[in-house]
Amino acid sequence: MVLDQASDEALIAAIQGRDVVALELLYERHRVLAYSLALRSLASESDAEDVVQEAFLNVWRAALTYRPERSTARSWILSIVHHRAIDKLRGRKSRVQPVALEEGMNVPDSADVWREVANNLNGEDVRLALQTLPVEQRQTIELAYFQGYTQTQISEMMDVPLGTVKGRMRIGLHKLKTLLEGSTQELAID
Amino acid sequence: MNDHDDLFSLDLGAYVLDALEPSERVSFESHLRNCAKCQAEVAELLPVVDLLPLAVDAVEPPQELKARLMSAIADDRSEKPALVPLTGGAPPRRSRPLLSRGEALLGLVAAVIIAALGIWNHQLQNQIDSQKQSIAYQQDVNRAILSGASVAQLAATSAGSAAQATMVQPKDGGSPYLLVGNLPAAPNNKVYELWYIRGATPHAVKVFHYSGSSPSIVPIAQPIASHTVAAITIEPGPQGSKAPTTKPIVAGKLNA
Repeated sequence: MVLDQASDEALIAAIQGRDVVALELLYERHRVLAYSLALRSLASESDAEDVVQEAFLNVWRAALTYRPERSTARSWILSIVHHRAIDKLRGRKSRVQPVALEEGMNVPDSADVWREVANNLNGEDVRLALQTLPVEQRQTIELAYFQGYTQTQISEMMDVPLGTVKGRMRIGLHKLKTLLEGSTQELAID
Repeated sequence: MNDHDDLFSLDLGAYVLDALEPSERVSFESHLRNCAKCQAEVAELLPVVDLLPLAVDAVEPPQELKARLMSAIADDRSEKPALVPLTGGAPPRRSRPLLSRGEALLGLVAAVIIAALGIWNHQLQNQIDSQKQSIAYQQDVNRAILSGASVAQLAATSAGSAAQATMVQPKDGGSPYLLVGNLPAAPNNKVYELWYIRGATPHAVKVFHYSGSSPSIVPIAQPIASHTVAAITIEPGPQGSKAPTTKPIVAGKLNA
């Protein structure tokens, strides 16, 4: 198979075999999203560059730990970028990736369906869905995900009870899921 | 769902957004291992969180970043790079009785470069060995996780240390064991010693040796029980110590 036509998952399999060209191609495909995500969280070009470099180095070193049945390659890479960015924000050296603790979990049958949903969505769909959420829910989710604040910190910043923050996160994510599923249904109708 | 479960399910959104405090996270994950309902909801919401990066405005990274990355990858490759010889062969000896000052200086520079390349090559080889060990170690950890075991990572306590250790409690309630990799070399007549800690009191658990060439599995007879922290120190051999005499090289919280 010609590498530049290979799927992300096939590229990661090639990286497991220490194929540098595969890593280069994977970087080319996801560099913009990875850098944009790091920059959004860190608000520093140099920090964002460091995080993206560390993340792809991690992909190179830990390609064997990628589990295609658990997530898409894009989600895996962006998850590494995100965790490294948040660690940098929080000043933490390292930590166990939450992915590791999900390994033993039961995955509902909807996982494949959602993979299909995710593949059909673009940035505009996600932005629109976020904008459709009640503003408090959107802000709470964004403060946690992009800025790395904990629920306790958000409770203090927004001056609302901790229970309210918990509810906004959980309900907001469920609403977001419903909205995004709706986006793909509209796409299917179109 | 009872009150206990309801209490934890409130934290579910914060968990998938990674917005729990460390202690809350440990507590939630402990609950999550045995709660199929929460596992299903986490699995339902994680893909939603995975889509959040798509909402970010696209910014092209600088082109130099790719060059930096590929350079770092080249340093990391497991193949031993061919070192380019500085000369095509051994220079003719004493073609002239004395070297000019410039030649002497060049010779000195060349000698320093050769020495530096030798050190770099040695460091590179060590780095490669360390990487191979990390991969093998991670495979062992993954196998443990896939078997349903409960794992707790012990983090290196020194910046720059590659030491890796994970406590594994098998799902079937069997004896725990320790996975170790890339531990720093123990000096002569010294051994590694594992400690369980509850409160401020360390309990000696196991003295072990580690060759340093590959990850090791260290069987542990003593159950984790209610101990909350595990740590490894280097102690006088062959018996080890009754109480730690050195700073831990790795330490970490044990799962409840």
